[in-house]
Amino acid sequence: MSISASEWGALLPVAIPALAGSLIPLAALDRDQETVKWVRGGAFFIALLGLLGSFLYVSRLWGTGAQPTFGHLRMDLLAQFSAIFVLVAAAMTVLQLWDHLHHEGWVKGESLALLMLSVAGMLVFTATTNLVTLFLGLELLSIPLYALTAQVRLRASALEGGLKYFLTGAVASACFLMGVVLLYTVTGSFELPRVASALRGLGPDPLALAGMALVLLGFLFKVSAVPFHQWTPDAYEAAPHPIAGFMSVATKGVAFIALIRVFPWALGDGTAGEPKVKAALALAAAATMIVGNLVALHQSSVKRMLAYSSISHAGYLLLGLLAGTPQALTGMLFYLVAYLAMNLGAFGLLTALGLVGDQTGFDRLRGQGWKRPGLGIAAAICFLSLAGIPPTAGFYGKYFIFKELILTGHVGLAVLGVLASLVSVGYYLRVLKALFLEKPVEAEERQAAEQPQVLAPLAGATVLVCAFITLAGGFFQGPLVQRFAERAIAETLKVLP
Amino acid sequence: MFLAFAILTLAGALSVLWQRNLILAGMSLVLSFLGLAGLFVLLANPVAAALQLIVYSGAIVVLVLFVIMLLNTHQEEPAERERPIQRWLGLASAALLGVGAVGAVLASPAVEGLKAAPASAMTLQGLGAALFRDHLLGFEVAGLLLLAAMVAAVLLVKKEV
Repeated sequence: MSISASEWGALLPVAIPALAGSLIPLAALDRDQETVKWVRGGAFFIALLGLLGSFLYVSRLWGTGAQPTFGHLRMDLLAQFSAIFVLVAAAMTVLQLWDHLHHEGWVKGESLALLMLSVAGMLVFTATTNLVTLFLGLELLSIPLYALTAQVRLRASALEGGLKYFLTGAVASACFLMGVVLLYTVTGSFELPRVASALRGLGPDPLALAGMALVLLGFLFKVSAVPFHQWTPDAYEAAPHPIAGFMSVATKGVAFIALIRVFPWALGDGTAGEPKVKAALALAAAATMIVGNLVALHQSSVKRMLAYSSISHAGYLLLGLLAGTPQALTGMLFYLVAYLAMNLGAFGLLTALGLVGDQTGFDRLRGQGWKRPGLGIAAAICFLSLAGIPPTAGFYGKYFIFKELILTGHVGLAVLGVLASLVSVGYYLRVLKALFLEKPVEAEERQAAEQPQVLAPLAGATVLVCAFITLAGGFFQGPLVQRFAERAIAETLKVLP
Repeated sequence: MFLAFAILTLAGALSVLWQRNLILAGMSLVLSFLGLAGLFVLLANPVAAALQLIVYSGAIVVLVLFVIMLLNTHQEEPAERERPIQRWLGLASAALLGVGAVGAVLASPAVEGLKAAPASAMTLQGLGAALFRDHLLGFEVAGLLLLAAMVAAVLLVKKEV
């Protein structure tokens, strides 16, 4: 069997990171900490090269407007959009990992290989309308993340968090698979367009409804929506900061993009189960916003606070799915890009300050903003954007979603969303207060003076880039939305049933 | 015939749950898989039955049993704090789920429609075509998945230096 040039076009964006992921373990065969720096650098270089190659290839596809396919893999514009999204997030994560793992003294080449394989899984996950391939992509993106969460295993808490994530994730995957099987039972197909048309022809069928609910459960677990959120704070706390950032941004992002493909059209609209699915989504979104924001207020660790904040952001994004208009989905894509910048910036701040292990309390941040003003201000921009304060990108993301929500008649949920984001200002400002308005603890100050200055040039640079993207997204939101997000949604909607 | 295999499968599965000795639990799992293989044969799918026997009973369960034997602890440890309410709640929710599942299958019009569909026997040739033509991408992704699992295991147990 030969593969044509156009089929290679669909395959290459996935194959390049996968190839890099297969090569890196070879560079990590030796004893890690004692290898010379250039061997470790080589592994990081291969990872970055793989991401860059895939990025250049996908952006060329985007430029020409080509949408190649290979079997069940459809590199359409939405898939290309999410590929670029994932690759940028992964590149920033690799840069931050270099600094963070050296601070921890725990550099393992395998973690980069797993990150690359997870990226390949994400690209498959967002580029298919076949339920079996969707499941395989889901597993390929999750299994490396379980190990990445637990990788710094000298801490017992890392293993605990990783195991919690693994067990709950395995149950969620099993539920997703059971849902796929039930949908196949009632419709006789794994292809989403055919599943959708068969579901529309079907009357109210309990098996179809159970299948839809179980598939939805798998997605809601991945975006950490309430009530499937309990793993989030523990897993984020256990994971190295850059991995936690990557999990919150990329996993959530691809899960939402896959939901855009799978839900409103394919499984929601026009089926007998539509009102129930919509009601369940609305309930989950409301609960996610309320629980995420209220619990985040009472955290003493910045990382746990960011975990609950990421739960609450999943709530806002679910609202966009509920509105379901093309404009709302465009808004979701914009929001995801803004979220990528501001959340990776927030986790990057922890890395850049060299806070390893469980030293992630708010008091660790005290006065750090004045010590390193560039970093402090860049991080402040990211946190203000997370809180949704204009003119940052985070504000416009929420604005697009809430506007469509009101236009489609969900006024109550929109009001709840606005109130929730008002509450969120409280805990994001706590970070800024610690950074700029509070004096550092004296004992720690003395301790810090004895140790050499923490250097994290790469992580610091990523925070600056994140702040830049956040601001640029705020000031040029109109052209950005039109050129990228709208194009991806409009082209994809044409081929959906 | 169906009832015999179904009872074999269920009995094996239940005994996995109840058995405190891990070796015996593993053996019961083999019993359950045997019943499952019988069910596949009844469904005119001898390929799946053979794979079930060779791959699951023959390879995976045996591997798991080897690991258990190497671990030296064949007895399940008792819980630190017994909470009878958990057991009852678990039993009740399992019963509810079972009744709900049976009810859903009986009430589903789509399942009624399946009865009319003719059953064609699955052949090895058909399986090969499905795997390497229709689902080639999935096959490759599954390969990557195994690589990822292996690298993940190495990352988690690699010797500290």
